[in-house]
Amino acid sequence: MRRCLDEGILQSYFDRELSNEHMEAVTSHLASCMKCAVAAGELEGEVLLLSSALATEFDATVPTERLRHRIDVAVAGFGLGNQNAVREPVVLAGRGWLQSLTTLFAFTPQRTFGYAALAVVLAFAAIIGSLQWRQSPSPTIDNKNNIAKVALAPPQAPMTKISNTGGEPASNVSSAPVAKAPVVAGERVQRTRSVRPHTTVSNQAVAQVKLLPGERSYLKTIAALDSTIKAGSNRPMRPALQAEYERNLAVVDRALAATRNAAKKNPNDPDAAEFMFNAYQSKVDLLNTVADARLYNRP
Amino acid sequence: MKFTALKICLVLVLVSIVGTADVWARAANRNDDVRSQKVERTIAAEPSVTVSICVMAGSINVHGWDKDEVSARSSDAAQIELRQKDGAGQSAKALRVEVFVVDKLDEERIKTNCQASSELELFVPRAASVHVQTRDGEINIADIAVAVAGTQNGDNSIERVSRAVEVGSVGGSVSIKDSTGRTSVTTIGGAIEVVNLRPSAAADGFEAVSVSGDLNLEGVSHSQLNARTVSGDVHLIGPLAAGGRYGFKTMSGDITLTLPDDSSFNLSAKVSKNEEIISDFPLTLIPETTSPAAPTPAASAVSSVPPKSPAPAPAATPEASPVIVRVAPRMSKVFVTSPVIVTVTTPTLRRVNAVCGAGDASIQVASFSGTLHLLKK
Repeated sequence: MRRCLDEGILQSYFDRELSNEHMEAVTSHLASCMKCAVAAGELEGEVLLLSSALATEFDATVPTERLRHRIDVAVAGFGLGNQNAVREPVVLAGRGWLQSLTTLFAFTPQRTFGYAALAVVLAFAAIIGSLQWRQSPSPTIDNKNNIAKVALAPPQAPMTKISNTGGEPASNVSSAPVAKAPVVAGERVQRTRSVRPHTTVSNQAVAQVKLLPGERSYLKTIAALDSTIKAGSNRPMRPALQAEYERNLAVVDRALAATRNAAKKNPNDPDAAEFMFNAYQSKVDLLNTVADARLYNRP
Repeated sequence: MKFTALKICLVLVLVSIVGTADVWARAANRNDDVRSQKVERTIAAEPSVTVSICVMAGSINVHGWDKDEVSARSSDAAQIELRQKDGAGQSAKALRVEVFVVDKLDEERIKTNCQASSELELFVPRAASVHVQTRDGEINIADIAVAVAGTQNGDNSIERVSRAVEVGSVGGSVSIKDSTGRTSVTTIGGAIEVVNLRPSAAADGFEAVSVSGDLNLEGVSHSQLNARTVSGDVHLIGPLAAGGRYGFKTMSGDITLTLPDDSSFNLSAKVSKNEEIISDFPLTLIPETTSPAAPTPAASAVSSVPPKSPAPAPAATPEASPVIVRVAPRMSKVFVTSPVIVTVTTPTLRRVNAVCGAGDASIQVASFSGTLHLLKK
C-alpha cells in the first residue's frame, strides 16, 4: 500500500464497519506502516479514553420522557387557558379575530403560568438541543460531500497529498476534506458514526495491498483474533492488561514492519521471509494470549 | 411514690440498654473470631494426585510434603472446599482434586471458580501435579513433580520441581530454579530467569518464549533448548550439552552466550546487515553450500584478510582484542585463531556458518537486528 490511511478509514476499521477485504487490507497496511500504526494506536487510545470518560454520560437517560411530560403539561395549561377563554361568554358573543388575538396576550394567572412553563420548556429544549448539536458529528451533507470526493478521487488527485519516500510502503497521505468523526467507543459510537455510509470506504481509499506469499493466512488469523479481543468492547480491558497488550503490540508491529520491509526488498531471500513469518507468529501468539487473558477480565 | 416508680423505670431501661449492648458486642466479637480463624481442609490423596486451583487474586504457595494428603489453608478465605474430581468414592484416596475457594467479600453467594481473592497455602505429595491459575496473584511452587502455572500480572517462582514445568504469564516475571524435566515458559512482557535446570529424560527439552521480556538462562543442561523473543535480550550462561541443539531467535534483542573456554559447537547464524557477531572463541568460518550463485568472486574479500590481522582495533594482546572479519557475499573456508568480530556488510540477510572446536553442540541463531555475543566464561 502506498498511501497512508486517513482517520475516517481508521475509525471505520476500529468500528468494524469495513468489509472483510478492506479489514484485511487495513490490517496489513498497519502491520507495515509505522506511521499509520502510530496513528491507529493514538486513535484507539482516544476512543478508549473518551468512552471511559463519557461512560456515565452515555449511561444517563436522556430526559425525553420528562421533557415530553413538561411539554404536555404546558400544552395542557395552554389549552386550558384557551378553553377558559372560549368559555367566556363575552368571547363567544362574537368578538373579532383581532380581539381574540389580543386575548391571547391577556395575562390571566393561568395563562401566565402556561406561558412561563412553555418558555421554560422551550429554553430547556434549546439548551439540550444545542448541547446535542455540539456533541454530534458534522452534518451529514458535509460528510457525504467530503467522503464522496475521497472516494471518487484518483490516487494522484490534487486533494490528496502523497509523499512517497523512496518506495517505502509507509508513505504519507493526508486527505484533508474528510471530516473528523467523533472519537467515542462502544455501541453508542456506532450509532453516531452510522452517519457515514459504509460505501464511503472505497477501493480507491484503501489501496490494494500486495501481500507476500503466505501472508494472507496470518492476516486472516490476526484479524479473527483482533475481532475476538475487541468483541467484548462493552467490557473494557483491565488497565494492566491493556497497557501490557498495547506496549507489546507496538513492539511486535515494529518488528513486523521492519521484517516485512526486508522481505519485500529481498523477495528471493528465504531468511527475510522467515523473519517476517516469525514476527507474524509472535503477533498471533500475543493476540492468543491476550484473548485468553480477557476471559479473566472481569470487573 | 410516683417519683420512686419513675426511678425504677429509669433504672430498668438503663439495665436493658446495657444488656443489649453487651449481647451485641459479644456477638460481634464471636463473628470477628470466626472471620480471623484460619480455614483448613485436608483430603487423603494418591502420591501422584493432580491438584488444580484457580483464583482471581491473592498469592498461592504450593509445597510438596511427605504425606499422602492434600491440605489447603487460608487465613483470609471464608471457605475452602477440596472437591474430589476423579469419580472415586469419598473413602478412596483422591487422584484429582479441585481446590475451591470462596473469599469473605462475597461469602453470601456461591461464587463460580476463579473469582475468589484469597491467600492460599497448599500442601501436596511430592509426586503430585499442580495446576495453578490466577490473575493478579503471585505463584510460588516448590518440591513437587509437575508444575503448571498461569498468571497475568503476578510473578511466578518455581523451585525444585522434578518432572515438568509449564508456566505462562502476561506481565509477571518467571523464575525457575533447581528443577529437572521438560520446561516451557511463555511470557509477554515478563522477564524469564532460569537457574540450574536439568532434563529428567533424554527427550526433555527447554523452551522459553517472550515478546519483550529478557531471558536469562543459567546452567540449563537440556540437550534441546529454544529461546525466542521479539525485543528482549537473551543471555545463556553455562556449558553446552554434548550433542545439544540450541536455537535462539530475536528480532531486535541481543543474544549473549557465555560459554566455558573449552566449548565446542557449530554456529549457524542468520543476521541482518550491519549487525555484528562478536566472538571470544576462535571460529572457523564455513562457506555457504546452498546459496545461489553470486556474481562476486569467491573469497575475494575474505582471503585478503589475514587470519590474525587486528584490523580496526589494535590492542596489546591478541586475545583481548577481537579481530573484525568482514563477510563477503561469497566466502571460502577461513581459519580464525583469535577472537573475532564478524561484521555482516552484505545488503541482505546473511547466514554465517562457523565451527569452534570439534563442533559438538549445534547453535542456531536468528537475529534480525540484534547482536550476537559469544563470550568466554
